[in-house]
Parts: sequence; C-alpha cells; structure tokens
Amino acid sequence: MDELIVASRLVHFAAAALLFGAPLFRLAIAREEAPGGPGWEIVASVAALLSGLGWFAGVAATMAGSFVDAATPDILQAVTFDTRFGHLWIGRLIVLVAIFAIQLGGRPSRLRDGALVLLAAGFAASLVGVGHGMTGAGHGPIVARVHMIADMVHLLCAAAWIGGLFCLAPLLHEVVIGRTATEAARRALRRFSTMGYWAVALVLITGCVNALVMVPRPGSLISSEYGELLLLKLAFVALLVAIAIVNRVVLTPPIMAAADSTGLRRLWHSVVVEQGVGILVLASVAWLGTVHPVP
Amino acid sequence: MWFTQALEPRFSTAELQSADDTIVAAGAVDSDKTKEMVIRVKGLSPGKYKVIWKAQSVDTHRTEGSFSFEVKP
Repeated sequence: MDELIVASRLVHFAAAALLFGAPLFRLAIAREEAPGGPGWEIVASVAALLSGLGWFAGVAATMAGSFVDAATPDILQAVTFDTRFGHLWIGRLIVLVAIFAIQLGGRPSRLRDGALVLLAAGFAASLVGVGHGMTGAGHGPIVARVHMIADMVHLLCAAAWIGGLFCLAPLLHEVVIGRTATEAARRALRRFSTMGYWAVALVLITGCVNALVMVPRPGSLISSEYGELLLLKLAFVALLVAIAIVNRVVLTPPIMAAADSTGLRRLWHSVVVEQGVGILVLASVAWLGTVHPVP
Repeated sequence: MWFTQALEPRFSTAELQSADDTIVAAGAVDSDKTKEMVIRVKGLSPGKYKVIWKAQSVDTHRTEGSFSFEVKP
C-alpha cells in the first residue's frame, strides 16, 4: 500500500507542479512568446487524475486493512463520503475537471492562463489538507493556522519553481536549436531569476516554520525515520539551490552579455539537471508523507 | 483515550477485552471531540482487562496499540 501511495504522490506532485507552473510561466516569464498549445499540461492533467486515483486506492487500503478489504462498495463509499481525505478528493477532482475543460476548450489567451493559474493553485495548495500540514493542530489553533498557511505558501512556491523549470528547459532548447531568438531566452532568464529568488527564499523560510512544528527536538532528526528522510530531502534541496545559484551567477551572465551558443547550451543542460534534482526532492516528499512524524 | 490529531470516526475503533479475550465493550471516536476515543462501561467486575485500539488520523496515518489494566475488588 505504501509503495502505491509513494509512487502516486510523486506523480501527483510533479503533475500539480506543472499544472501550476506552466501557465504561470506563460503569464509572468515568457510573456512575449506566443502561448503554445496545452500539450504537456493535458498529459499532466491525466497523470494527476490517475495518480490521484492510485493515492485514493492506497489510502482506502490503509484504512480498510488491505486492498481486498477496501474493494467493497461499502468501504469505498465510506472513504469517499465519510473521511476528510474523501471530501477533499471530491473537491480536488472537480477542480481538476475544470482545469481539463479549460485546457481542451479555451483558446490560448492571458485570461485562460490566469484561470488555469488560479485553479491549479487551489489544486496544489489543497494538498495541505491531507498532509502533515494538519499536524500543527496538536499545538493549538494559532500554531495550526500558521503551519497551514506556511505549508500552502511552501507548496505554491515549490510548484512555481519546479513547474517553471519544466518550461524554462524547453524554451532554452528552442533557442539552442535556433527556433527562437536569443533575446527571448534573455528576457525569460531575467524574470525567472527574480521569481526564483522569491520562490527559493519563501520555500526556505516556510520550510523552517514547518520544521519547527514537525520536528520539535533537533535530536530527532537523526534518531527517527522521519528525521532521516527529512535530512535526505534537505540534502536534495541544498543541491537544487546550489545548481540554481551556479545557473544564475556563473552560467547566465555570459549569455546576457553576448551571443554565446556554447554558454546557452551549457545552461540548458544545467537547467535539465536542476529539474531532475527537483524530481528527487518531490520523491523524498512523496516518501516522507507516509512516515509518521516525530512525536 | 487522547490522541494528538483528529481521527476518522468511521475507521477508528477501540475494544475492551476481559482476561478470557471476550469483548466487554466497544468504543468510538467522541462525537464532540474528534481527538478522543471513548469506551463507556458500567460497573466492571474485578479482573484484568485489555484495551485494543486502532486510530485512523485525518492525515491518513494509521496507528494501533493496546494497554492493560486491572480492576481490584
């Protein structure tokens, strides 16, 4: 059951990040470029649906005791309508259907991208409701509220960052193969850097807030499975931030200064690697969610 | 029984067993306080008892456990 939940969560997180990050990228980063077709975002919607179902099946099996026990109309109905997880899943499914309808129906426009950003923000941030974002409840209402908001900001900034990378890499590739002007890459990089600084800063700050709630004693970082997994995640995050800094400080300036096709290619490779490390972070979070937090 | 998180009433159970493993009473999540499970009993006869509980938290984690106690005459 846990394996299914971890795999489903990973796919779900990546899909949710793309659903939020891609329209945001078109709105805020690559404004001048002609908005392309939904393409990968439709794939992400389908992936979000399938992984959401897989996650649901895993949780139903956990609640019922086994997959066989869960596969009865009675249990499925109870998980759907009588648990918080079920209620949230109904709401998120409706949002996902709305996203899908806009992707298929709407003509490319800023209004359409704006609607997609808002809906996808709800789709991603609502994950707080089934995660450890609710753990703060044990510390009183104020801590619970702060933890929940911090967790939502954390999710959205991470989605903007990792989802944005999914779009930055293809854009750089288009410039590398000469299909798009270098100026487009420069504009996008300039804006992505600004957004990146904010996203990274907010991810780190809200991450610290969450850690204070989730890991009350620093010692439990090395004495519990949850703590060890969190350290693994932090190692990936550190690597992610390091690559982002190299991209920004070392690889980007030469491209800004002059036409530099080698430099552009190098940056493109580095962004693809950064994207891969981003997936590793999501994988560790997918796993972390199935482990009991430190008591 | 007190828990640190809200529980799913539909999937959280508690049973009180006597020394010969028969179920004396069953409990449920308190309808007002979702972080508590209650087993109501009236006048337990002296003997050893065991409480076996399964808790399904709203963040989808499942835990279970048990504890024993004795009623002295």
